[in-house]
Parts: sequence; structure tokens; C-alpha cells
Amino acid sequence: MRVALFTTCLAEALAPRALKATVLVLEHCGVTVELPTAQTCCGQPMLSNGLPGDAALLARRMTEVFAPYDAVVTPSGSCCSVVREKYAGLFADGSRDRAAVDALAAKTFELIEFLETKLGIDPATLRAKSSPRASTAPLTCHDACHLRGIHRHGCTEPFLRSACGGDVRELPDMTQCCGFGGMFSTQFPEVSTALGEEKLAHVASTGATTLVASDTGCAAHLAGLAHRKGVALRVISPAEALAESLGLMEVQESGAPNGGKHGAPNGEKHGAPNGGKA
Amino acid sequence: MTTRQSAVDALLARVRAAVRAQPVTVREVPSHAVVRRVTCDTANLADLFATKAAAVGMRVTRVDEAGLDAAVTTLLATHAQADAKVVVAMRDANLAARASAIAGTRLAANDNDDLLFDCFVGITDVDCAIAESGSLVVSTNGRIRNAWVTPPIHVAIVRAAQILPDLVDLFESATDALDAASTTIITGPSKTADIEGVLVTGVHGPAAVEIVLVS
Amino acid sequence: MNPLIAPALPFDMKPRAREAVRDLKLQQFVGNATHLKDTQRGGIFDRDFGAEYDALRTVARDTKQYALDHLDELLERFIANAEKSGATVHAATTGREACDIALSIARAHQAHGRAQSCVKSKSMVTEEIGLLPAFEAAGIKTLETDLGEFILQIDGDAPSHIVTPMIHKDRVATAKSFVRELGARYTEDPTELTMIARAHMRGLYRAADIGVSGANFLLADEGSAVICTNEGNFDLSVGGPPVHIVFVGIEKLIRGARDLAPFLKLLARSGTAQPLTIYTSFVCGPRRAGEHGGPKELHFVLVDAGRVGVLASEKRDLLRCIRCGACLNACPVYRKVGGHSYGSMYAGPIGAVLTPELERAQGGANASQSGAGLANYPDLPRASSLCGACYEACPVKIDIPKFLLHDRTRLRERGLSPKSEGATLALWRWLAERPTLFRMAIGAVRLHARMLGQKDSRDERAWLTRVPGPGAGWTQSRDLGVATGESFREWFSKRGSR
Ligand code: SF4
Repeated sequence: MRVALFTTCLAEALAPRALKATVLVLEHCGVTVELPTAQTCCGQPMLSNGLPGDAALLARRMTEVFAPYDAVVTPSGSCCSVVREKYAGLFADGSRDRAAVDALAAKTFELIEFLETKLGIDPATLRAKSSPRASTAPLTCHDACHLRGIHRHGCTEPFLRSACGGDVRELPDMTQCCGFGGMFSTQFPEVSTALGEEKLAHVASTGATTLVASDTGCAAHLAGLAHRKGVALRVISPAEALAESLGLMEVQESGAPNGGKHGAPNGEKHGAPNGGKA
Repeated sequence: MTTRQSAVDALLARVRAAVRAQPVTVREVPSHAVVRRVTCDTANLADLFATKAAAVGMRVTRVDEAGLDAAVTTLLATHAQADAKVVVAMRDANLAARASAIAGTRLAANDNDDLLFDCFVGITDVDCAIAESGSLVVSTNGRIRNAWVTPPIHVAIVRAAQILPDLVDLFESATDALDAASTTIITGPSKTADIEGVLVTGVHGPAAVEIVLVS
Repeated sequence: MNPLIAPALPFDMKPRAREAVRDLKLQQFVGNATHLKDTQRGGIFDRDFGAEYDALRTVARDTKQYALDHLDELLERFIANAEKSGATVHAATTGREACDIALSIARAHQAHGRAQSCVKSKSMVTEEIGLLPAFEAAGIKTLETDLGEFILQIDGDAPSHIVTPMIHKDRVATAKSFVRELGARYTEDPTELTMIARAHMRGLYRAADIGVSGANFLLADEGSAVICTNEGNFDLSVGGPPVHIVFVGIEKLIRGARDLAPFLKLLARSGTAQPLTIYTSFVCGPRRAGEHGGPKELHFVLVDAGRVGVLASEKRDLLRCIRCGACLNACPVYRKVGGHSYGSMYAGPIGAVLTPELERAQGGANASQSGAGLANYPDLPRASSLCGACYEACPVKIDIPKFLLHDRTRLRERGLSPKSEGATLALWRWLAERPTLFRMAIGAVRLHARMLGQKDSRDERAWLTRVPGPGAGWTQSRDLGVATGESFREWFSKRGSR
């Protein structure tokens, strides 16, 4: 099986560590990951903001870029759902493009989903194959709303609970949106912020110092809000939570967002020739 | 042709055109099998009805035929002052006579709906009842309208044989309940939660529904 | 009409939304009530339908869609059967026409200039068509009998939720208005307040000349209407007055009682987590010979007001809505901005897609509103994070997010979306077709952050506190964290393939 990493543009810009973690976790599960270098953006911003024609151009590109692979895996819940749920609507029934996007949709997976449903991995066994960290800081998990569309909403937490072993706390009112919503966050900043603050309050109520958010956008929104408010909260992707707990990656220090102790550098713990600092 | 008739015809014509403007996506109504929750085989209907009716806030007194009059007498004594008016709205003439006798001097005429507002208790029988939801089905077949909703107390006499398993059965069975000018499925005492979500009963209809379940 | 739900057009949602977010009381009332109802909804479906909940929704979706796809047949059958039962059927193309029909019915019963009165039970369509203002103008005094609607009425307020209309108000406001308007003694106890309202309304029921209601369903086979209430106010308002008028949108039609069970089982569970509403009332014609009680005349006013246009459009699905309110309760945005931010009696997710659509379909009916539709409500399609909670909650499976996207496209086509945003997206797409340039652009963002951002002490990230252009809204309340260390691609290529 040839597995391609679908990086998403947002993660490349904002969250490369999530991508590194995705690679490490997949490799830990025995998967060889390939990186199609021509990939860019899946078209979600155009699709969600009234430019389906532009989105269709990028959807077609996506089908070409990922044509050689058997599976396409991404750490970003929303981009995954766009490919899976929304691409079909961009092209007429029976057209060649439609067949191509349907084929792409059938082989595209969000990371945790891929591990669980495609590889059939029992999360509890993941730790057995690694030298897991004794215990990580308490974490809680917010699933991206887009996972609803692919019937994976609420699946991340149980997987992590079982795979990470550590202190995973239930997030109250998890099902409510964090308020990101793509351009919604800039069009209705007050509403978006109010929802984000409510989410952060729920996170705080759990006592967790790490929040796992299964979409790069949601993570950027919540982390940005916490940073502005001076709230000490580390926001990471499920891939990072997995990589850290399985001992594939150093845990970053959590603490005050500014002026805190200097944390461990980014990157792999072992095995990579140039993991860590640039 | 009246203007009313032509307006109705015009609406029909526009709807016809509108229906045709889009493809038909559902050609047949699907099977409703999943809608049914209760059948005769899956439950003791009287027990289930009693449980469900209680769950929605109605009170259930279970009696046999011989205990019926006494139960109604007790309920009247509990709820109605000596001078409180009682309206009897029954399709079953025999039951009506017995209830009227129990009401005695408190019995109100039941041929003037305006008087219903002066009544404190309405005693009715039912067309049928529904076990699944604990509901009563009462129609204007042989009953003065709204005798079950206007007075503050509703006493309903239900015979176990009248209990249908599921709401679905009301619509599929041979009962003539829905042929009436008015039929009401009652599933609890009148209630509101409009003020801060606080539950209050008796806002317009009865604050208490007393069911006498006769086995 | 009340500007809260019939605002000046084009409607600007943003100031209302901003104000609502700052209104702590509103946040508390609406937030608590919607969360509670949403949780209870999940609970009762789990308990009663478990894994079959989804199948039940599919049945309801298809049953209602069938009705819409065959609405002409059903309508014809309904009219014939309703007339057979002795009811009179009217048709109104516009809200104004619907009001005029009601006024002429009222006039026919007017005795020598005596003022008339009306008791009305809860109905969205009468809000929509502006029946009350029309009645008031004609000197017909109307009583809202639903407790919530009554409190809103005496306060000059407007409903903000399709099931729990005064979700935004508290007992204190109610207590004050009862003192002021009814001369009641001051009490904040909901039971006492309710009993004050009950006592006030009893006499008005008896004296009323006209009863008015909406309907939840119309049954073609039976020619009757089904009305669901918890208070019993519909039964009282139809029982007393000599004339009753049912206003009903044509989309309420289903084949008949044989198709009713799935909807009744879904409606109350979805809206208020009850197995059924307390009263599910069927009205079939006026009172019959020898009967006591009930209207001597029963009128149905079938209201179009844009619905036929929706039926003909690709948004036919929207007419499946049974007004259960579940999508409002589930919606994160509704929870924050409340109903009045939507500038329509249809708030929340369904309102966001339905309001512009009814408006469009009526285009030209009202000269001042021509142009219609999205031009008058440009914010509604955008006021969503597309989280999909509404679709998940909807008992008839209306894919509201899909229609929001559809409207966003039309906004863009009509030049009603912010231009700078469109230019940014077009540039983004142009770059995305050119991988090398695209990567350089991402690199530029990272460089920008490295130069100007605030360094993070914990990781290789810099925080931007101000972003220009369409992103400015972001940094109004948030920083933007950009990874500034080694890029993923550098890392990946350095470690080689294994
Ligand atoms: S759109 Fe669906 S969830 Fe919303 S009110 Fe209508 S039926 Fe209920």
C-alpha cells in the first residue's frame, strides 16, 4: 500500500510539528509515508466561501497529485471532510472529474481514522510496541466539527485515552463548536471569540494543561486566543499527542505562554538525522 | 366563480408548476416499520400505559369494574369542593349515568360549552389510549367539546381493552376517533416552561389529569 | 410589525450579534436553555429509539419529501376533503392577501360596528404575515394565548425561538410587565405568574369572536389540521369563538394520518424532549349538527408567501422543516447571538437559510423589498461556522450547511461578499495551482512571522498580534501562532526515505 501524506496548507504554515508527528506515528505503525511535493491547498477556503469554481480547479489538482497512491492520510479533520464530503458536489454526476474525486474520497482518511479503521489498530496495543513515556501532563480533547461529516466526531478522545494511557480528561460540552469556522472567525470575530472563550473555560475546568484539537484551524484559533489572554495552555494535534506518549517525540514544555521556561526543541526524539532545531 | 375559488385554483396551478420544476426524488413513501416501538406481544399494555402516563405527570388509579364508582367518588371528594361544578362528557351512556349520579347536585349541564368555564372537574371516557406514550385519545364523538381541557381537573376513565400498543395503531386501527370534528391526544396535564424553563402545570388546560384504569 | 423580527432592509446582522454577545443575561438564558434542550433531546432519542434514531429520521425525511414532490396532488385532495367536512378553504399568495382574507371573514361577522376580539394560539406563519398588526389596524383586539407569546405581546417584544419564544427573557421582566400591564401584584414565582395569566385569559376566551391558529400538519386524506401545543391553548381558542381561522403554509401537507406517526414522535422529542406534546389536536371541519362547542365556521387560509417559489427551487428540502427548534438549540452561533440577531421570526440555522429564500421567492410582492433575498440578508449565510450540528439534530435531515454554502456562492456571484476577501481567495487559488510559488508564499508568511512576530519561549513559533487585510478580524481578539523553525518539507527531505 502506497500511503501519501496530505499535509494541508494550514498545517505547513502553522503546525509543521503536527505533520512530523503524523509521519512518526504512521512509521511506528509500519507504514511508509510518501510526500507528494506538488500538493498545495485542497480548496476548502474557496469552497466554504462561495467560490466553488476555484475549489473545483484545486479539487482536480488534488486528484492528479494523489492519483498514484492507495491511501491519503491527513492530520486535519476539516480538509479530510472536504475531500470526502464536498468534492462530489463540485462536479456533475457521471463526469470524469466526478469519478476522480469519488476515487480520491474513497482513499482519503483522517489520521486516527486511518489507524483505527484502515489499519485496524487497537490503540491499546500501540503502547506495547514502543517505549512509552510514563505519564504525560493531563490532556483533554476537542474534536473538530468537520469530523461529524465523516462520522468520526467524538472518536479521537477514546482512541487517545487508550493509546496514550496517561491522564486524558473528558471535555465538558465537547460537541459544541470552538467557534473557528474558517472565515467565520474573521467575519464574526466577536461570536467566534465568545465560542472560543467558552471552549477554553471548559478546558480549564478539566484542569488539563494540554488541549488536543483535531484540526489545524481550530487549534490555531484556540491557541491564539489562549495566547492573547495569557492563558497557559498547550494546543496540539492528536498526532503530536500520540507521538509524544509513544515516546516518538519530545514533549514540549507547557507553562506560561510567555516568559516560561525554555521548552524542549521541536522534532524527533530519536532516529532522525536532523530532528530538532533548524 | 368566486374570487375565493379562483384564488384557490390559482394556487393549485402554481403549485403544480412548482412541483414540476424540480425532479421527484421520493416516489414512494417508505415503510414506517421503525416508527413502532410497542406491540401487543412486547408488553403488558395496561402496565406500560400506567407507567408511561405516570411518567408524563398524570395520576393513575387502577381498579376493577366493581371499584370504579368508588374510585370516581374518591377523586371527586379529593379535588372538588361541595359546590364545585362537575361536567360529565361520556360517549358510553352507562358510564355517563353512573358518573352523573356520583356528581349528584354538582352536575353541570353539558349542552352549553360556555358553562364549561364554570366547571371545576370534567369527567370523560376516552376513545382509546396509547400504551407507548401513556396518552389518552378523546374526541367530540358523543362528548361535549373541551370538557377535558377547560376545567382545572380532568378525570378520565380508561378500560384496559381500550389501550392500543403504539401511536401507530391509532392511525392504522379501525377506531373512529379521527372522524370526529375534534380529537385530542392528551399526554399529560397542561404545561408550560415559558418562564425560565420552570415547569408549571395547569396553564390553560387542567393542572391535574386523574386516570381511572379499569381492568 | 415588530422591527426585531421585521427589520429595515437590507438587514445588518452584525451590530445585533455584537450586542447579544456582550449581553451577559442573554448569554446565560439562551446558553443554558439551549444546552439543556439539546442534551435532553439526545437522551430521549437514545432511550426510545437507540440505534434506530437515524432510520426514523430517514423515514421522516422521505415521507415529507414525498409530500413535497407530490404537493399538487395532496393539496387538491386536502381541499376536497376539507370542504367535504364543511370547512372553507382560502388561498393567499402574499402575507397581505392572507391578512385581507382574515379581515373580510371578520367583517362578515361584525355586528353593527361592535369591536371584535380574537384569541390566537401560537403560529409562526401569522407572525410572518403580520396578522396582528393588520387586526389591530382594523380594530380587532387580539390575545396571544401561548404564555410566552402573551408575555412578549404585552411587552412589545418579539419571539426569539420558534418553540420557546421568550427564551431570551426572565421572570423579573415578566413580573414587571404583569404589574404594569395587568395590574397584578408583584411576584417572581413562575407558578403564580402563570396563574395570573391564566385568570386573565379565561374571560377573554369566552368573549372572543374569532379564534386564530396555525397548524403543524395538514392531512390530505382527512381534510383536517393537526396542532401541537403543551398548554392546551389551541383547544380553548378553537372551542369557544364562533369562527376559527387556521393559517397554514402549504408545506405542512402530508398524505394523511397514516403518515403522521413518525413526525409526531420526532417533533416533541426533538423540540422539548417529550414523547409527544401534551395536546395533539385534530380539527376536522366546524362543529357538527347537534354538537355543543366548536366553531360554527372553520376557515383554512393556505399561505404561499414565497413557499411555492421555494418548492420550485433547488431548496425544496427546506420545506420539510417541521419547526421543532432542534437546530436552534444545537447551533453554537444561535446560542451566542440569540434569535433577534437573525432579523426574522425564523431564527437560527433554519432561519438563516429560509428567511432569504422566502424573501427571494416573494420578490416584487412588496415594492420596497424587491431585489429581495440575499441582498436583504447578506450576513445570514455567513453567520455560521459550518459545524454541522444543525444537520445532525434535524429530525427531517435538512442539510442546512449545504444550503448555507449554496447561498455563499450566490452572495459572491452577486457581489454581495467583501471584495478584499474574494481577491485574497482568488490569489490563494492562483498560487495553489503553482506549487513552487505556493511554497514560497507559505515561506513568506513564516518569514514575516519570524521578523515581526513575538517569539515564543516554548517552541519555535512566533506570534503575530496584528494581521492586515481580511485577516484583521482574527487578531482583534486572537494572536496568530506561526511555526518559524524548520519547515516540514525540509525535515522530511533531510531524514531521507526509510
Ligand atoms: S430545520 Fe430541522 S431541526 Fe431545524 S426546526 Fe426545522 S425540522 Fe427542526
